[in-house]
Amino acid sequence: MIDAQSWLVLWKLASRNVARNRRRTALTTLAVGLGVWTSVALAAFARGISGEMADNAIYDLTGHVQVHHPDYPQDPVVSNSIPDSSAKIMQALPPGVVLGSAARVRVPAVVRSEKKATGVTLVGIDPDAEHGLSFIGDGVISGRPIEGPDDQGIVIGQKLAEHLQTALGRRVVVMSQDVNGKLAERGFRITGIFDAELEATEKAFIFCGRGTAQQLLGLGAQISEISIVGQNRDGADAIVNAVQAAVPEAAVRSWRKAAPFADALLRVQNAFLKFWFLIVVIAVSFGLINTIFMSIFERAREFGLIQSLGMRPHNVIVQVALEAFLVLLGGMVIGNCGAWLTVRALSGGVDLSRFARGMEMMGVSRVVYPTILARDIITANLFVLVLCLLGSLYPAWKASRLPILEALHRTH
Amino acid sequence: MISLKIAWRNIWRSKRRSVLTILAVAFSCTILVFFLSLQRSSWEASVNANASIFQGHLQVQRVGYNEFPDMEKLISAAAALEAQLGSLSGVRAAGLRAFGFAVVSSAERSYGAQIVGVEPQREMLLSTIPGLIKSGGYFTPGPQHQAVIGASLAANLKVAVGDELTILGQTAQGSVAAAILKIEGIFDTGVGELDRNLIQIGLADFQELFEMPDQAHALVINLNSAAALPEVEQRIKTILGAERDLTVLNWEQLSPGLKQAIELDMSFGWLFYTSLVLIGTFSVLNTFLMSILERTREYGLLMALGLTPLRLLSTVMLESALLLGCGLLAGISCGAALVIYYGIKGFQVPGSEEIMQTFNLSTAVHPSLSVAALTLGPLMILFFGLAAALLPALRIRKISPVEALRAI
Amino acid sequence: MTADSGAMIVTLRHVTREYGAAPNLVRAVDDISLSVERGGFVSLFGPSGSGKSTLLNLIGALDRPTNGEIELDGQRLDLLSRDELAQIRLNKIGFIFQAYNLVPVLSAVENVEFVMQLGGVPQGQCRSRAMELLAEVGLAGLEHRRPGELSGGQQQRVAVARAIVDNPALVLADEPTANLDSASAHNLLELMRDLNRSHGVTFIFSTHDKLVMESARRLIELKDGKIISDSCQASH
Repeated sequence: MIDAQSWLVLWKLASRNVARNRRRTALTTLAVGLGVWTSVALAAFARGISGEMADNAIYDLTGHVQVHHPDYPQDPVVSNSIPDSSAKIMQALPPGVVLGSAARVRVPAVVRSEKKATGVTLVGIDPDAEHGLSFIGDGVISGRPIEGPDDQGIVIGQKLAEHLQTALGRRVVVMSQDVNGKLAERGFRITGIFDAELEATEKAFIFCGRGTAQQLLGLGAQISEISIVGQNRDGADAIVNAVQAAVPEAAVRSWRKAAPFADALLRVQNAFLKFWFLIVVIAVSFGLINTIFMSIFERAREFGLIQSLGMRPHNVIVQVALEAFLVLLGGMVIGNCGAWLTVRALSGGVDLSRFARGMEMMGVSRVVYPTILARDIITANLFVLVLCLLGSLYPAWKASRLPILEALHRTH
Repeated sequence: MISLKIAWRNIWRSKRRSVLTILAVAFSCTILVFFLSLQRSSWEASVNANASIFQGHLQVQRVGYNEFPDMEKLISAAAALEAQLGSLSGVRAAGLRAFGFAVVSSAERSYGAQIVGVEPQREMLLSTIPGLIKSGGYFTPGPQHQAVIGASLAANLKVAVGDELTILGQTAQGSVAAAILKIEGIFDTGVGELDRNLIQIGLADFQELFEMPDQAHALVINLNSAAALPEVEQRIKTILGAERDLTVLNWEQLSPGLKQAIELDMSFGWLFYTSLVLIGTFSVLNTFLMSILERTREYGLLMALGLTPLRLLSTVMLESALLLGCGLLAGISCGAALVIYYGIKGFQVPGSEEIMQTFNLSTAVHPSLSVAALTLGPLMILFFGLAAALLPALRIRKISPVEALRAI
Repeated sequence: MTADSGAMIVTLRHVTREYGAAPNLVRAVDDISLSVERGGFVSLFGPSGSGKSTLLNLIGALDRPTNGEIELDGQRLDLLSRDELAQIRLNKIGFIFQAYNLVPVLSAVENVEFVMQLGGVPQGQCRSRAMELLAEVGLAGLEHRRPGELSGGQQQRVAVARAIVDNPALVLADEPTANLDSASAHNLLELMRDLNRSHGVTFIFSTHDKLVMESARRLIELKDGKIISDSCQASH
């Protein structure tokens, strides 16, 4: 149908005609570029937020993969404990896939200061394992962190200390239920205060040594959970399968199940962004199609001429489509560069302190880092290219159907 | 007017171009009108839901209680205050609540929970919890000390209606507060925070348990209509005056997170809408520009015949304004139609059920028409559209009739 | 009478072209029957509205007759599809219009190459042949100029080069000299006559121009869509 030679001619005609009217081409290219730019930039911004949310949840002790007693997720109490199978699990995973794992005791408890009491989650940790895995690894800002599984001190969050009207060095009483169902109670001195991204985190968790917790609760060598952190969020599902195979009797789940809100948000976002891209493309198309029409009628005579010389109508369609393609390409280049530059400029993070509490509600910290995802760039550009190209077929088709004689006799 | 007729006819000389331009404007306009309505309605819905489930429209509290809820920050002579404010016009119901923290133990488990002392009769009008009782009843008259707890808490404690709970807490003075309560009912609101943490007991029981006679932490007020809120709030402020250390709070202060979440959503919305308007404007700019360039000869002729550049400019602007106007009209109508349609049917953002539930936003939003939604978007488009039309039109002043006539 | 497609390049039989509907019916071409032999140098003349252009358009497969048959180089034009007609125009016919003959965005040589490239001729061949022809029409040195940079006469020469570049059976020219000054017009005609003699290409013109008419070997006069005279002149 269209052979190599014709391609050369069509290409020449298309590219030169596009270059012919500088201003019009510039404006059209800019319009397309604007569309691509806003699409990709806004998507990056939205991803920054949801990424923060997911990462906060993960860093917030959830980890990428969790291992529990099958009844623990519904009823996170001391009796639903498991043996520490960390070694077995790490062996089952290929090297390099996983950054590390942490075995913890994790139970609901009440902490009481001189003035007040409140409900918290008591977490017994092995500090060496937590480094780089969760926020508590490096989160202590005054006093000292938990130094070993048998450390006798307790570390609480800044906001919790304020709420309880207590401070570093003072005593608190921690109460929880032991394995026999009896109330276990112990006094602790606050040896450290930690700071976390979210206030909610600071109020929710108190930390002590894992051995200390096991002793307090009568757990022996049992633990409540093993948290595993891999290379990135997306690799979690693969890890889940490997781990489940290694410990079939335990409940193994990924962060998606453990932090379903973050997961749900990501899914809604994907749908919304696709919809948004579509809207932008449609808005751009109207102008593009109108512009192409006008440029065709301006050149009606030429289209008549080349058809009279023997170019077949479908080649006219191809020529016009090629012109549209060139403009779209230019727009995409401009738009993508613009978006990339914008994100680079904002790479230090966008400060949304104004909305701090609202963000807190969603589990997002105040500073958001826009992130361009490959899938967003691909989707946005694909939409623009394919749909606008399809749209351009309408005027292209009309151009090919211009009655040749009429066209020849236009004295435009 | 002649100009109007001429402008109108001029537009329809290039039918397809005008139709495409109108469609472009209408499209952006429809999107703006519909989504703005959707956003506003979902905010309203969440505010209302928030208020109706537990928080109420307004609350009177001791100054500083909202930021740091200490047991000592009390409303004294609470009953009298309740009688006084409850009788204000526009107030549907008022009720006292008191809050404390305690360890709650069942036969098998112990948990920390928040204890709320409530007035059962009044709670029926102040919150939806009484209506969300899944088993048992919401406080029945009787001698025994009763409690109503959330479904998740009941599950964690492994208790059912009829079981007993031991409450162990601390009074403001530091002495032990202990009681045994019978579970009268279990509620399920769907809001995690409430279902996991809340135990309600009679206010009288609470006051006795925590040794705070005729005292409470909050007076919750519900209004007949949310629209009356600012007025009633003002009146209460006047009544409270400088006498006591009391203040009145509305939903924005009671749920600052929600307020900011809404503001955040609003900002995002504007980011999106503005981009859409800019894109649309750019799209249309080219058309306006090319149109003028195309008709240079015609303009030259008209000016040679005696039409002033200013007259010509205003005719051209009138044409653009008519195009924009048609587009806006079509857009507003379509947008309004969509709003009405989904207002009845309910609009569900796909995949958002979970998120909505966590924030207590209704899963399906029913948008409603509002002046703001119908005008803000279109006005923005009009402004930018006219700007886009003006820029190329200004070139008309530079046209020299002779040259124009020679040009082809 | 059956046409002898060997000697005749174009044959029209009872061809009519009507526009509009009663009572505004216009017969631009009214029941014309005509044959043109290969190698002919024919001029159609007559006042405006006589049907010259319409006749050329019909012969050139740019238009379809309302009635009648048109045979071009043995093929019935009235039976072909749009695509097939385009193919005929590409391979068998060369056009020269009164004005706007060239594609503005292509240079002279590219304009000449155009029809060859459409036909799938290898690029190297296109270029050399185009250059050759441009030299033949006297435009050596101007090959890379765009139409905007050439005079009216030069543009028409490029059009001529393009018209004959892939050896069409027939060249149709609609008032080719109308926009030229007399010197250029004369030169153009000389050119076309030389080409007619040396390459054997059939030329059919429509014209008002006396100069053109005098050059033709066969003169066909049209009035109101009918042929009113058809005479041969001694070749010059």
